[in-house]
Amino acid sequence: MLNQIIKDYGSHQTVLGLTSIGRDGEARDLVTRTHKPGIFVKKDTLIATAEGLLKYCDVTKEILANTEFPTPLGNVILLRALSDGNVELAGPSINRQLGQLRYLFGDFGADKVIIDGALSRKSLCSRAVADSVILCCGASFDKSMDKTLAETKFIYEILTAAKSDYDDFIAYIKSKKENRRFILYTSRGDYILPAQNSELWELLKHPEDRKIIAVYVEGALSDLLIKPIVMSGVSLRQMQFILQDSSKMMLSKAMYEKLLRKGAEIRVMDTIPVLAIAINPYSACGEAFPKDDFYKKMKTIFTKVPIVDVMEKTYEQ
Amino acid sequence: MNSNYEFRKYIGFQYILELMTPNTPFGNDEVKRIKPYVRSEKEKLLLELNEIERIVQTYEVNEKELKRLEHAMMNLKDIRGALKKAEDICLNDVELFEIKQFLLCFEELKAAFTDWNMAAGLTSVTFGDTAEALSILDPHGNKSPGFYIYEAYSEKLDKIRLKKKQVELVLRQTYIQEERDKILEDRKKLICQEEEEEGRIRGLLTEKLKSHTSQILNNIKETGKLDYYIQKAKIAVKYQGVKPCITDTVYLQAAMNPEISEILKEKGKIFKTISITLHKGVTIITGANMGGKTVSLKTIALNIYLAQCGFFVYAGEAQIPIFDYLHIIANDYQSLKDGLSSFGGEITELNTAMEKVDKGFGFFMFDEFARGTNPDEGTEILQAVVKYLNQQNAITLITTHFDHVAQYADAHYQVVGLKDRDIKELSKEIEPGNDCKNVEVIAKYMDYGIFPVAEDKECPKDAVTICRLLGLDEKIMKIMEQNKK
Repeated sequence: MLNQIIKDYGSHQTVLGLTSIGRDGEARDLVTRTHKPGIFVKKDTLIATAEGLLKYCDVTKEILANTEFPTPLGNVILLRALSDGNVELAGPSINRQLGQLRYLFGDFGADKVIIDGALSRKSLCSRAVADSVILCCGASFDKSMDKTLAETKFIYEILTAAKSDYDDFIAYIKSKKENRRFILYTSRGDYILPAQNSELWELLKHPEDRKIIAVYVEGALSDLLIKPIVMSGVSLRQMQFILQDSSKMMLSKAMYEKLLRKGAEIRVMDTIPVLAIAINPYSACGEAFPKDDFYKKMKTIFTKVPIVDVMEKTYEQ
Repeated sequence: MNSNYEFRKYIGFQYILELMTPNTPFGNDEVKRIKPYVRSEKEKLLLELNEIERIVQTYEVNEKELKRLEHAMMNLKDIRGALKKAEDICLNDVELFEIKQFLLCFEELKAAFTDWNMAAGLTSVTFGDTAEALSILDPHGNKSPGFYIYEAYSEKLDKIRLKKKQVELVLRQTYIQEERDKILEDRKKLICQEEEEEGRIRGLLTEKLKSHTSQILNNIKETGKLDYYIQKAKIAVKYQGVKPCITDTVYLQAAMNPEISEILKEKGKIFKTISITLHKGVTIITGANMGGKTVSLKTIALNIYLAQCGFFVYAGEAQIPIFDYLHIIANDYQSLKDGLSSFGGEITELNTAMEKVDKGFGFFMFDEFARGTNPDEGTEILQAVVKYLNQQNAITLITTHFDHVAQYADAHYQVVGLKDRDIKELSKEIEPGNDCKNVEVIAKYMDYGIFPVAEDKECPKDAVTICRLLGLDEKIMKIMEQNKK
């Protein structure tokens, strides 16, 4: 998918900035030990990668900055490709550093920054770092196509969680300076700031005669937080759990579904658009889904977002 | 000299160090290396104090230039590792880039320094020219911030890159996989050639830079020194320090201790400055309990130590000698790590101190020495110490509340304490049972100032007064009064 984007932008005069929160571009996948396509960039592309990987980048390199963000492979270095060629990427994996890197790319003239992510590091696709997301799925995820489809649907639902429609409440949360783990919103339009060490399920169980219709959760929404609420039998009908953005949704699929069954909704303050879903019917281990079948099923599940098959190789400009 | 962390912490020197925020790793190294000057280094100490004086005197008029200079300093990264590496092995692109960046930033630093120094007029900081070193890494001379192995270094490299470019152009327009594979194979060969030539050039660049290493290192050292002087000047300005005169006696007029002053300020109190003259021989400070003898001691010690280390001192006026060694014996900071009682610890410490006696001109301080033993023997021991130290080539300051010690000393000061206060007035503020508050009230009325008195004057006896003010059990007070009669 990354190569596809690079190629597509190559036909425009767009300067790309590339980095990865994991490790990308190596000829062999270090996790599955299988062949992987490398990353081939065009001249003038900006790249942020670990110092230790420079020797595997065969572009002519102009070193532009040492970010001093440490990785196990050395500091992240910002460089400009003075020729076309292969690169290997290993960038920072801390939100704040990715945010800074994004601006640094801008300083050196990048028009578009692409971060190669990882599902297990979903928290990094926060609005603070990225403006939009491309979701990738395929046979490498699971041998079972149905399981892959179900999981993709779950992730997609999370990523596209709708913005809360309690505008007053959102405006209030954004204006407040002190950090609170929770803020409650009542049907009368009052805000409740509970004490710092209060338990959310207790707050919901004894709402002091006021009906609570939304809860803002600062930071991650985790199973640990939600389980006691679900167990306590509190009515969650039409209750909104509002998060900063969808990267803060850390619930397991099972817990998420329980919450939905109880009538609750997950909402966010900032949405992050999912531009496309890239699919790869071949797995790194050589297994494959029936190609057309996979594509068709994806199309029927996801009607609002383009589906791109990355194995449809085309070299037309 | 016991110039360890505990000693520095005890007198409030560590507090001063922590106020210093050097702009460069090199300045930071200077701060870490701080140690007192010795007598043979008097010229160096004077030079340093004069330089700081120049910065302090022009501080206000030069503020804008100083900001620019400090900003330029902050951009300098530590390249000493790369320079060291260059002695043995070839530098890589990132290291060459960092050296180039350093040299570019250094040009700006030098320009900023020249402008700033027009007013400041430092004489001991000089920077060598590194333009030639920069030109090695900036062959086009356009001072671009990035670095790569430029084609300008070698015709061969230029040709290889040109070919590579052509191949890549063809590749862009080839869509049949087999043909692409063939072109990629050609490209691989060119990349090998390019890498080989780049490697050769890196070797050459490293070799060329080597002849400039000592010059760059010298500039780094000078930058560190400049940074350090500026930091010293800044904390002098912050607490209105003055340049100490280097003489043979200690004379402090209106001396203060910034750390203690800040603590008092937080409690809404004002630091009472201290004035004292110390000649060769022993000076005794006596005073009541809670009277601030230790505060006087710490203030005097801090300012003497500051001057030894080339700092401005916190006083209205100051004359301070250079000592060959300083030694403080105080129960507060000596830990009982050796398993000795406090008295045992003091005696061992005294032995260590006395070993230094014949090693030049020294400064000793004793905070309530021997207070842990019975007053009779304590007095005898202290009398002996005073008599002995009077004969030595040292200045000694001792605080005590033993009587009959000061008469053997050369000078005697007393803490004012509650002497001039109206005890009746004070008693009105005392709340029986509220010990915390009562201690505060007494502290409020306590005058921490010191004044010279006759050598044989007895210690002020405020202890009983304080016991009464703090509401000591009536029955005990009664027995005490009967005994007195």
